[in-house]
Amino acid sequence: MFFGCATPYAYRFDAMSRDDTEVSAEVRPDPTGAREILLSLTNHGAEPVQVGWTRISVRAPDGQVTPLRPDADLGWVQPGQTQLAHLGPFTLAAVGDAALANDGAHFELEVPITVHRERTLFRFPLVAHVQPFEESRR
Amino acid sequence: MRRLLPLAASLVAGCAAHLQLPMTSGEVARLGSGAALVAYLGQPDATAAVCDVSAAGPHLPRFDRDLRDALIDGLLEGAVTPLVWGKCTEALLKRLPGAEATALLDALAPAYVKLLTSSKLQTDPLVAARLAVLHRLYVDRKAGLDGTPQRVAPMLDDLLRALAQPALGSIATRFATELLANADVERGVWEGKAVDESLMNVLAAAGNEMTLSRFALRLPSPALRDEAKRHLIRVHIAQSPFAEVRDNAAAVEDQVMRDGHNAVSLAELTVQRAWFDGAALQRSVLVEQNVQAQTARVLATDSRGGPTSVLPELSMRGTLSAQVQGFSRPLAICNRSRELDVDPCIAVAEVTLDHPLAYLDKGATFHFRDTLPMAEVVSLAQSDDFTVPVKIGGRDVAGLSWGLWFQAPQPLTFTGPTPGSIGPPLVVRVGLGNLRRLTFDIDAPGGRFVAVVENDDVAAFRVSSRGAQGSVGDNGSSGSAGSTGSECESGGPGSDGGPGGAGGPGGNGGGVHVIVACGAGPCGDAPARLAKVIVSEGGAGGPGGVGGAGGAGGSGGSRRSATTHTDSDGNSVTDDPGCSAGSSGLSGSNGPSGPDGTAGRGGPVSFEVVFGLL
Repeated sequence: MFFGCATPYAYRFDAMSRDDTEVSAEVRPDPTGAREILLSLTNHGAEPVQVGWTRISVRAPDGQVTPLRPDADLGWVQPGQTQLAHLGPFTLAAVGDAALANDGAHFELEVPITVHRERTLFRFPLVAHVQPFEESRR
Repeated sequence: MRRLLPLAASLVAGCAAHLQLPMTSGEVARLGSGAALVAYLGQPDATAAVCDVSAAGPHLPRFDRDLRDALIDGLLEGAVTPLVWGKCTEALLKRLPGAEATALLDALAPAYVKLLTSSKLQTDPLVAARLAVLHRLYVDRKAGLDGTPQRVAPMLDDLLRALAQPALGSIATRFATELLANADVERGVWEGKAVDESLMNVLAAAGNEMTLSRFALRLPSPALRDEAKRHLIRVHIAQSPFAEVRDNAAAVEDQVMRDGHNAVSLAELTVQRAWFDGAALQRSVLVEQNVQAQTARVLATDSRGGPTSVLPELSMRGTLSAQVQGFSRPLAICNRSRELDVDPCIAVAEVTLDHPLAYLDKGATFHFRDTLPMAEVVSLAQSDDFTVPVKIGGRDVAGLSWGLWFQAPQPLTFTGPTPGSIGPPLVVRVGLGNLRRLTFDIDAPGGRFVAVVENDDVAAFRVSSRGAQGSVGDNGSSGSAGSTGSECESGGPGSDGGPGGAGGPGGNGGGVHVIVACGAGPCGDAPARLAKVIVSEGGAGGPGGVGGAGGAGGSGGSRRSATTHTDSDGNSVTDDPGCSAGSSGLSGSNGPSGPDGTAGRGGPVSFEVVFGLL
């Protein structure tokens, strides 16, 4: 990849996971590679878990809400199963001041989930850390 | 004819090219240009309802090429946020006649390709968001609405070819893949197989709402789309939190197939209470008055003196819930029919906002009229706040209460019609019914003028009957020019200018009668305060005439040259020594200016205090 004179940056996010009795979830944002957020949901219960796959969104620090969708159509997460969802598009500036401005920025992923027919909103805080791409590889 | 003086500032913004912000929905509907639409939609809280060409409230009078191009540019250039842009364009596609909707879709196709192939798509979140909204608009459009095949088919072919190339980025690949999958569904194919009931059964068993929704919108035959809807409804029933839904699955399925939702009848049910998710609804209302035109703009602000924008719309969906007798959990307002929501819900028609400015659009969203005659605005002034009672099934069950401020109006000065004439008689009714603000209702010969003034602004406000300024004195006569001197003689002096005439006396102020209605409480010091605000003033004396200019001195006579001859001895003999030119005469003095006229006197101001309201 060629960035000219501007410094390329890499993103790292604080580890985000959630472990409930019924559902555990892990989130891995990748705004400069696959331009998506990888969401892993595991159903530990005995009934299907419904996810509002078309109503997932990410809230930026400025309040802007961006809808995200899986790259393939998905349904319930069946008991005992883990569902991976590639949620996108999620892209952030990769070079220059625009990228640096995201250092420490707080994003929030919102995922509507129905467990035992009770609707709830899973919120995952995503705190971005930005560092020069070369440093990130050391 | 008498005139209302000092409101020149509000008259300045008459230039057609000037777009004043904040711009209300009434103003964008009146202007009707592409530039106005984009400027309006770019404001915080702008409502896309202006794009609904059949809306009950203010809306675009037409949708021509200028508007279409401006709207598309507004997205591509970032002047309008993708969210508002999407709602506007969705409303247009829904309400425009078929041919115009198709033309709009055709015009969107090049914009889609431009964003999909943009070099910034991978790195600029805003470009990705713009493409995403355009993409969903196309993919989720209503059944039967299509672009021109000759324009759409080549675009899909290009995408197919592009997908085979490794150069397409991950975001473009994501969108192109879904677009092509949807094109397959429109041919009745999903993942290489013909779509039939058995496939739908498999999808429903897996709870795959995404694909079933796609089928319900995009399959080629109405029968197949209906079958997809039925399967989707069954998925929703299986996951409904309402036991009464799951226990009556067949009946609910039929009702949702028929109506698109499961609305309950409130005729025999009691709504026990209702509430808003209030976080998104906190605003204050600012009323901007144009007293001369007797109109007002109703705007939104976060605080008094803070930045203003347009009034937000109030969507009942997702914000209003009610506990209804006989149901195990709160009910929401019914969703859009395409959502096929099976949960018991309250029909939009059951909800009313008991407010004179509110009206309901077709999408369960309330709007407020934001450009109004002052006569309607005055009624708002009676309440401390902008209070909006909410009724469900005809019963008061909830309410909104926003802050309310009236922007200070400019002083109102009424003058006599001709120089030196007496000021017009005024009758001023002042209402003190609300402790926070006063209403001024003025009967003047030129008409009736109403203004609302916050208590804090009263001291700076002024209503006056003012005598007209006196007539301007006549200018003095000019002096005559001096005579021209004869040869070698000086010119004669110019004569003095005449004195200017005296200015006329200013007119006296007209009589003013003030009626103060104190409402239920005591008047306190209100009449004394108002005596400084409502006045009768004499007009200024007319300025004296300017003295006449003194006459110019006459010009001097011409010189005469010497003459000589040579005598017989050869000597030069002077016959005439000649003379030099005469000097110019002195100019006359300018005449003195006339004295200014005397100022008029204030007229009588009488106060009458009444109890109760006006």
